[in-house]
Amino acid sequence: MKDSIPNFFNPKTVAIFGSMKEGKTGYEIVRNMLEGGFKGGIYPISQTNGKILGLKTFSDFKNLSIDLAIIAIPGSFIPVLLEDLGKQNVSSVVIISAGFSEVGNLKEEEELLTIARKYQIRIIGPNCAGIMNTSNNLFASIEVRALPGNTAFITQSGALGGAVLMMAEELGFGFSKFVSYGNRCDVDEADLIDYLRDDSETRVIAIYIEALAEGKKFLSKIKTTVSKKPIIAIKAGKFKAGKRATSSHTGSLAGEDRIYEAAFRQFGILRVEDIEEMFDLCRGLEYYPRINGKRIAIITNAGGPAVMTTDKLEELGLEVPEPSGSLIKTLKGLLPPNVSLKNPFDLLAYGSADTFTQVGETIAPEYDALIIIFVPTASMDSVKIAQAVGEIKKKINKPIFTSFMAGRLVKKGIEELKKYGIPNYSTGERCARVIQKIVWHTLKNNPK
Amino acid sequence: MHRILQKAKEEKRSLLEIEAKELLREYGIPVPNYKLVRSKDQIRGLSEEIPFPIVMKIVSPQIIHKSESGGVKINIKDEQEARLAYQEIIENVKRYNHHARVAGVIVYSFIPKQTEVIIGMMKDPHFGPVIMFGLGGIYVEVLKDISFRIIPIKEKDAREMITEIKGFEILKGIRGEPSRDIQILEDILIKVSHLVEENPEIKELDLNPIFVFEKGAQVIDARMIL
Repeated sequence: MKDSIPNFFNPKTVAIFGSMKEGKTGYEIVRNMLEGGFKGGIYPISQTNGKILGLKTFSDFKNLSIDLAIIAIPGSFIPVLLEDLGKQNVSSVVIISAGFSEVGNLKEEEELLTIARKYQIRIIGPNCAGIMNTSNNLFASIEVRALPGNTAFITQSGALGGAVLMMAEELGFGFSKFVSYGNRCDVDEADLIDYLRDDSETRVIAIYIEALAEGKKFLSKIKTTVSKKPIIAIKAGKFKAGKRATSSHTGSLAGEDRIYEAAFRQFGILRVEDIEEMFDLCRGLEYYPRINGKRIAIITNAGGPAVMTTDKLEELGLEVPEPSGSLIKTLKGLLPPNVSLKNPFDLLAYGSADTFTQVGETIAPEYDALIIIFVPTASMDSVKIAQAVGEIKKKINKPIFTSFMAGRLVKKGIEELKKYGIPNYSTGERCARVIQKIVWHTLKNNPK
Repeated sequence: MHRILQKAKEEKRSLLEIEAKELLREYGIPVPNYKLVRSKDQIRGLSEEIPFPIVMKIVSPQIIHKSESGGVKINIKDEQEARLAYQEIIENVKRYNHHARVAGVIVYSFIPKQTEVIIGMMKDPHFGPVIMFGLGGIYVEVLKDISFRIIPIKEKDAREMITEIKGFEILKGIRGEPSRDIQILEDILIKVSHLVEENPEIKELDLNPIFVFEKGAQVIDARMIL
């Protein structure tokens, strides 16, 4: 079979089959492709020759060279269209149209696959929201266009995918690839991960799963991927009742979710509970693919948040160890006399930009990662502190996470942190959760 | 296919306890020395092979719930008691299910109750055979304090399965008690993984309970469903 998975993401020409009336799926995809700035050929296929959005529409596509076909026509017309595309040697087809296995029309979906096999076509979908590749402005989807980034997001649910894209837009978070794979009659999550493993634009893979197509195939692809790039998964359907017939004790205890949980843990997939945690972890991993150990230091100018962060770190099995004797000595020379020389390093009101930098640089060698908590006072400029933290990052080779608390007082500071590639979270506890998962990923998938 | 599995398959039944234990023994999984007694007469001289006190349990393909059927007697002190127990077991079982075909009674030395663990296997529709580990009794029944992995497992997986359950502290020894033999549990998990891989005919498996000592462990009861 032709290896057309890469072809899905790097087509020179894209044909869109669907209604080209304003507001309809076909039209909206064409608009998204145009506004997104796709440089290749965009061919709207319509029953009548004409123009939409300044583009020529085609009623006859027989003479067009099509690399990727996006189909959003009623399901009953798709088999005939697939046959035609097959005869034209089109090898990559995304079927947006619904009305297949998701509503019980198994035979209709089977028919699509039969035709696809006959002509060596690969299908993404049906019943999906389309695909995107931000590196070449391919937005073959009705959803809001993703910003460029380094996380690939693949999702079984199209609607959830759309929501994630909108949330990401608000956060300023970008994606390398987006794939809504819907009913996955052909291309499934395992094929996509196999492709993304070697995709140079993708540093982190995030996936939303309700149920896997083939567990064993998926795990075999995971095995060769997790040491190259982290995989984050949301697995929904936690409390779905198990329906298996069983007569053993073991069988009666093995709920579906417990097996997924075990498989993820065994094969090194990072499971997150919700979308918010997924974004948190993606942001952390894009900046810091590894954290080599569990020793975490907290530098703060506020006591309460640091105590809560310490509690969370320890609850998650990480350590907040005291500095060594010689480090304490060095710090004594640096800091005002009544600052405590313990982890968390509470700089109190003395927490000027310079003190943050000095302490950070000095303690970094004894720890695996730093959390810097900053609560502004009337006289303190969050941008200055952000720049100080940025300077620490330049000098030390250790991951730094920040929690600038909170709201409009630190808004500019957080913008500044972004320039230095430092992930900021609204609370230290969120930093802790991200760190714990990156440490686990490092020890499990990339031990030294 | 293994001859034991072949025979059971032909007879359209799951494994008898003695067959399951024979298979375990072939894979180097520790089971107490046992003997199948087919009549009261065979009890004469039994103490020379199986040190008393002993446990006696019914062996019949039709009897799955051995205790419930009155088919189990424990802590039997001598041959005299054993003959009475044999008689009683057969009578109880016949009363419980008069269609039950009795292959005999399995006997092995009685071991006072120890820390109990359970190891099991079932087949998941997505992931295939899955192995389970947990502490026995209420820890499994009530607290569901168990761990799973997809078969085959490596040593590291076996270790994680044991350490990730909450009851791991109990295995390590609480209130001054010595630690249980964790190494042998790892070893049994790996061997069960092999056994399951090499004998795909086994659909489900329960080793319950397994007694764990300071040194060593013994699989007390074993079920394998084809």
